[in-house]
Amino acid sequence: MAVRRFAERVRELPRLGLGVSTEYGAGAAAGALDVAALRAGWPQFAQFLEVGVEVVKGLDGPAQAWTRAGLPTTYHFLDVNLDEPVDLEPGWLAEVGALARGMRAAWLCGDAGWWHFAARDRGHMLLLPPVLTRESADAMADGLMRVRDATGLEVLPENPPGQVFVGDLGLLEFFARVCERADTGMLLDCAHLAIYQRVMGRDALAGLEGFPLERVVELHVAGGSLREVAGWQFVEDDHVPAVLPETWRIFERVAPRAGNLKAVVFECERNPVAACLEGFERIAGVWR
Amino acid sequence: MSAAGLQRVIVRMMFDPAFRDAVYGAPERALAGAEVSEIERGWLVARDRRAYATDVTRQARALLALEEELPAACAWARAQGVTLEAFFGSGKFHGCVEGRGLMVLAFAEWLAANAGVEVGELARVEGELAWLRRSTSTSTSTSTSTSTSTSTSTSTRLRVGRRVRVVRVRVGVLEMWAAAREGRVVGSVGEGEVEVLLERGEDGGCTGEVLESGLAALLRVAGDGVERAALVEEVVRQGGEPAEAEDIVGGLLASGVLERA
Repeated sequence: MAVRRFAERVRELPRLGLGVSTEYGAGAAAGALDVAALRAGWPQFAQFLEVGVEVVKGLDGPAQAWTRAGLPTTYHFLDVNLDEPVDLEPGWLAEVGALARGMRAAWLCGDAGWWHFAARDRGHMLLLPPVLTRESADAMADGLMRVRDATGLEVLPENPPGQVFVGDLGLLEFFARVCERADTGMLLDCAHLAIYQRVMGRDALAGLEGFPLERVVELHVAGGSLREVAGWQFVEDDHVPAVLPETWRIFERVAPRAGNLKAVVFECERNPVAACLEGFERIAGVWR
Repeated sequence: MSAAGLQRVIVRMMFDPAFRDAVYGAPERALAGAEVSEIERGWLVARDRRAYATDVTRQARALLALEEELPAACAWARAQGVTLEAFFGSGKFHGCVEGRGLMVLAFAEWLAANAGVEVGELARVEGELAWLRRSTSTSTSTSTSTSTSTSTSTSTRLRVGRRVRVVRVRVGVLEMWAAAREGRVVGSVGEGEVEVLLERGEDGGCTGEVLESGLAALLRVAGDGVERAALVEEVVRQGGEPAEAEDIVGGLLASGVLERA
């Protein structure tokens, strides 16, 4: 049977709209976003739930309740190094497939970097960006295709955050290569891209003019905070409601031009609803 | 160097400030043997070195997870003045990252090598338990042919179950371990050794008990797999009746101490 191209497959993906993200236990903290309350009071801002999953933990109570209600979800992995073939263990792949099917996820997605060093294990939560080389991009594309084949679901790689980027490719160039080789769509995190551009001393929109925006299926928007370590300033991707101007610039450039955009997540899972409404409204005003 | 290899060097630079400084100070020397090209060395030090240190809780988070699995060894190590953060500057940690090992096992080995005998013994016990938690869980409900002596059951190869480990430790360690789990850093190890059975329960909880010598010998025979008949013979050799020997082996199989090889 002929393998269908992304341009054809993407037409069958559902348009999920504007949603929110969560991960195991995120809603339990004081002042955290109550996804059920958001859905009840502002359903236009909680059209789907992106569930961050470590296979070893599974889904927490609120995520289970959401899926039991038959509401739309996506599965955001938190425990795989896509560019490490040895990390794609058959048992892990089988469990991801079962969990994703159980929650009727529209697709898989997640930061395409290193979630753990050494073997998959508890306590890592590393989240490093990939080494930006052709070899690494090709390995990531190959890993992505293995996960897609094993689960039967689209796998959207997400550009991870970071403060150290090594390699001879630009971040957007790297992900364009991954998308081309794996013939896949991607999840562009606007906040992560803004951090990368700042780290590299580039304008927030640099490189977007040559990027294949038709590959962008999902966008993330999130707030960040200016921090300092030993006198050195950096932006921490801490998902506060206050979105940095560079992130807004990227979102407002990409969203109207991404012809296959199906979903936007406002990542604000550890903040009360009231603090997030302004951000939701601005996103909704840009992407209708 | 492969991208994965380069990534492992980055991980080590993030966790170990001394290694990071060494790479910045003299990259060629610090990365000798790592097959990092001159271009790649340039990539590693192109950014301000403080960029590697922005996650200020990285070591603490990792230690938290390690201490959850080795609480007694860590409590004893702290009482002996060991700085646990030093693990991240150790060869064990760097070797674990480079060799794609399990951090908790590397940590247990590091503790055993860098503290007193009590810590070393506790780290061995808790390291074995950490290994048990990660071992493949096998259902004992499918291997419960107990006292029957049919030709099928007697020809089955059996092995020590994957939920249990037999470990030789110094006398007194299990008592120290039990006390530490109750928050008391007390006790001492004796000169002699005993064999103990460490077991992971169905609920994930772990237990340890000193093995009676006959059972220890039987499990040594079982090892990674022998014919069931050989285990029955061992029980008989130790003085058991043949029918009783079948029951003993069947009971161990039902409890998961033995399983089908």
